[in-house]
Amino acid sequence: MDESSHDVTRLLLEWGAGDPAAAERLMPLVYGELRRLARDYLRRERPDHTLQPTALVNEAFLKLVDQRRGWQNRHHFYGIAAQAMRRVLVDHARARATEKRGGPLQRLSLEDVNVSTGGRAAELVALDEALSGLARVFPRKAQVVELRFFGGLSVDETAAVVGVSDKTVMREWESAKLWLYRELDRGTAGGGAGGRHDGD
Amino acid sequence: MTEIERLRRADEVVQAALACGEGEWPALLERECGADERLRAEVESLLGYRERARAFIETPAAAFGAALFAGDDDAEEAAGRAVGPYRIVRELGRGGMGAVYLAERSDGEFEQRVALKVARRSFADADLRRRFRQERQILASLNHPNIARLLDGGVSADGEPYLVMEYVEGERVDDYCEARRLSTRARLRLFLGVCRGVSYAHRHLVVHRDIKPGNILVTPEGVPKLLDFGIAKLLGPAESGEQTLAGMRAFTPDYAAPEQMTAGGHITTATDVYSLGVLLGDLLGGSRRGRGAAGRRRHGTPARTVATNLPTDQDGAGKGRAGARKAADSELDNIVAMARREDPARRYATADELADDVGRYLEGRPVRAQKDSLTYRAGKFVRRNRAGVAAAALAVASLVAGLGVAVWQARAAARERDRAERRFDDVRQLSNALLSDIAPKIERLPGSTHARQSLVGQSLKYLDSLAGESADDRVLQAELASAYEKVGASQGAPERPNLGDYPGAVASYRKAQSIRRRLLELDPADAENRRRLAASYNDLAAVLYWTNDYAGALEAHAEALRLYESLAAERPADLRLRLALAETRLDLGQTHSRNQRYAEAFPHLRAALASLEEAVRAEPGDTEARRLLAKGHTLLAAALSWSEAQAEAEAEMAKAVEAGEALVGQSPNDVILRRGLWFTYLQASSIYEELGDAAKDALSEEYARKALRLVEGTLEKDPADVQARQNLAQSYSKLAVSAANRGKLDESARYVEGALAIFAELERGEPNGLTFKRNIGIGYTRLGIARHKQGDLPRALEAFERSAASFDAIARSDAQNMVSLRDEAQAFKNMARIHEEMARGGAAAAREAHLRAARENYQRALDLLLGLQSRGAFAQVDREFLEEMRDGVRRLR
Repeated sequence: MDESSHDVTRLLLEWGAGDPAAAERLMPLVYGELRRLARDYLRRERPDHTLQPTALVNEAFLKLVDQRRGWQNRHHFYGIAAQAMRRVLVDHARARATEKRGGPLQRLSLEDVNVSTGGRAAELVALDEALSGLARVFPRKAQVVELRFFGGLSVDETAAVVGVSDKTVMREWESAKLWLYRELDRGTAGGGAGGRHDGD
Repeated sequence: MTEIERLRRADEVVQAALACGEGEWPALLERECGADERLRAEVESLLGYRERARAFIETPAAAFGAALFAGDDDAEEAAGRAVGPYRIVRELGRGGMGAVYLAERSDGEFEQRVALKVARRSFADADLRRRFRQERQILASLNHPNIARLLDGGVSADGEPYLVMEYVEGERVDDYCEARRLSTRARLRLFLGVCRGVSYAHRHLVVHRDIKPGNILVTPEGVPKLLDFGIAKLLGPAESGEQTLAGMRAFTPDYAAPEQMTAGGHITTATDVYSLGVLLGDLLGGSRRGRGAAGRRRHGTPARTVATNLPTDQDGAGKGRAGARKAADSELDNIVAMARREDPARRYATADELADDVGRYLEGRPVRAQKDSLTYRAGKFVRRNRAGVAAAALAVASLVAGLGVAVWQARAAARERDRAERRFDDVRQLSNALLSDIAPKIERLPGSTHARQSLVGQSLKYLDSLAGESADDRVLQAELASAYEKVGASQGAPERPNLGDYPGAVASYRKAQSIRRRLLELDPADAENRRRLAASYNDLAAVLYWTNDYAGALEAHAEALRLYESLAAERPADLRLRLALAETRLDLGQTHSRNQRYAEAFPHLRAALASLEEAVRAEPGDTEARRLLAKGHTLLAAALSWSEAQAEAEAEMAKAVEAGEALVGQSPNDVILRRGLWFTYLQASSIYEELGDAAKDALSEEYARKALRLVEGTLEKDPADVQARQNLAQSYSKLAVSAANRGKLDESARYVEGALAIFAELERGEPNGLTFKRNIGIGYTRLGIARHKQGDLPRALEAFERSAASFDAIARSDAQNMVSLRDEAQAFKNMARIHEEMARGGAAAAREAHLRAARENYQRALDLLLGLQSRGAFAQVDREFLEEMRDGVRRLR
């Protein structure tokens, strides 16, 4: 158990006790660990392998959180981890999408984005922006998407983190998908009446 | 209304719409939006994305992340990187062990282009680094014109071990031969160069271990050079034989000697001799490389016609030379066969001896290699089968062996041709009789496993001999393909009485397919052959699916799909073809679903359903179309339920039940339709399972009961139907789950016991049938899960222990059964979890004991999974499973 594990455990406890600033301070620690783990995993695996986000998050939990302090509730951690996972992936995608094109992002059609890594990166960045837009109107929807899509959590885990029923999670999820898909679709069509603007 | 309010209001309407069927939308919108056009536009716009957004973001982002991060190791980014004193220029290739780069010395000491091999980081454990240092010394001392030199090696600043080798600018030896259409003699001379390099290394006590065309480059000057000498050992497991992750497959299966494939096999210079034999066979086989993989698996079978399709050195020589050439070819065949003998002691003792025999051939002197004599083979056969061979089987065997040899010899001598062909036909007829008449008749006899086993074994033996004899006879080749397919079915077609020899079944199907592929090349328009080839791929896929090889199953189904698609396009009016195509899609969907890839399953299932619905509309009386439609609804419902689209799943399942019930109502005695409906009921029970809803739990139980009643009815009509008895037990198993979910623990236990009793009885009739043992294991697993749910940890543990024991019994009676090893790992995992839970309460001493037991069980599961991985029998979907076990061990250390 290294130094950071005490910090993380303490911050988690503080955050659990209602200190929102603790979450802000947790983020860089979790972010760093997840990023390291993700790279480590992928170095070991073939490039066509799928990252298992839950495995990563759990490994990060074991590494970062002092297990002797009786911190049994992983759900608090999942929330932070999903956020960190989002940042890890999107930061990386942003860097990559920029580098591939040697310039600012271009929108691609949704059909194209599944073809190349660069396209995926662009899609991920666009999705991240759309998700931020969604959060402004429907914060809970955005949280559900963050937990499920970025954190890889199942419906019931998501429900436990958000503190709602499975049914609500599914309803928020389904409607959020429509919303986000439309945003991306509009983005690719080049127009759009959505509330989100590029470059904010 | 502000804009935000309108968006929120729209969301409420959208959620209401998503909860009901599309048919109700107009009324809903009318009611909720009224005259607010902007609200209505927003709602309609969102709902308009429903179909397209179905699979959207259903796969977690990390799946994309993998591709993103993997790019970090891309060649483009590697360029310019420094590894030790070397700077990477570009990537040359990449394999399981790491990547190979073209690099140059970067310290300006002297200019030199080298091949830089960097091992993946996970291999960079302390032990590996130690061995690197030791071996480097030895390898660096190898200095021979046919070996690419090892120049340097070390560990980079990032901790990655690397090797620096002479950079050979050349072509792979097989490509080199092909591109230049080299003659047999030229190929042999090239091969001699390879032998010289190997022999030199052997004298320096270094074994290559991974000789294959990809490791042999030919320079523009025509000098063959062996790469990677000793690397396989460097990167392989430690000599103590302990299993490490790094130890997986440090060799190439097709070229690996039998002793490399078995645990504890001793690796010697004879191992390289074997690989040289395979290499020689492939080089001489020329463009017909495809025959390699299948033929090679049977080590005793000489590669009979290896040299016949290559240009000769005496082009335009008279036809009178043909006989002499044939004799010479058989000498080469003997050389290849001798190098590739299964028993290392019976191969050429050294690479020099092999080279010497090739030299004799080149000089026209008689070679030393001899075919295995008949007495040797007969003796070996008796030794191998002493225990179980019935007298009758032995009689058949000697008859067949006699005939086979006679054919072989007689064919070579022209004056005996007529007699030979008579005998050839005898073998052919006997083969057909055994497979078509005898095998199906004894298939359903209880206790016939041994008889079927020897029947299949014998059939295979002379099928292989016939296959080599008659490459140019298309009718016979088509017959052979069918025969291989029948053998494959006896060996391991799931859903039919089979021998549980799945690897054998896969090999047989693949042989059939390679024959059909060849026939396809000869006559691309032969629709019957294409149809059968497609069916054969589907059969293969069924075996692979059964053995948890989803990737393989998907690939085979995809082949079938391509063939059926083109056939159906040519004959749009052929209903049978369209149904076969739809069924293939259903199977594909089912495989994806089973692999938890629902997003990929849906398009196939939906496409199949659309075409089946059309077929039923066109031909309402076609039972097969309706049966498949019901199956399609069932599979789609199950997949929807698993992807948490429960409402749709239920609607789909209602259609399946209705269609299935109508069919059975119409033909109550049709066993296949009854089985179809039974499957639907069972799946229906599953989709209502465990939703945390008492009414649904009741429905789940009701469907399980319907499944039970249906199969009971089937059994009344035919008590001897083994398949139905098995289904009866499966219904009990399902009822056990639904009863447990409703809190009826005792009832649940009774059902499991009922199921287990049936399986035990079935097992008595089929002592070798692993299927039932597996069902027993699964039964106990279910019981364990049910008891776990009830919080009865000790009895859950007991059930899991029993399940582990049955899987273990399978694994022990059938060393090739990978599924049961995985099942066993699963049982250990369940036991570990229960122990971990039990450790939470209780006194300190008991806690310690449980934690220890949990750790042991995680370790056992991990060992089994690693074992599977090292045998190449690891389903990718189990990665998470494996990591979870690793975590368990780590956590409890």
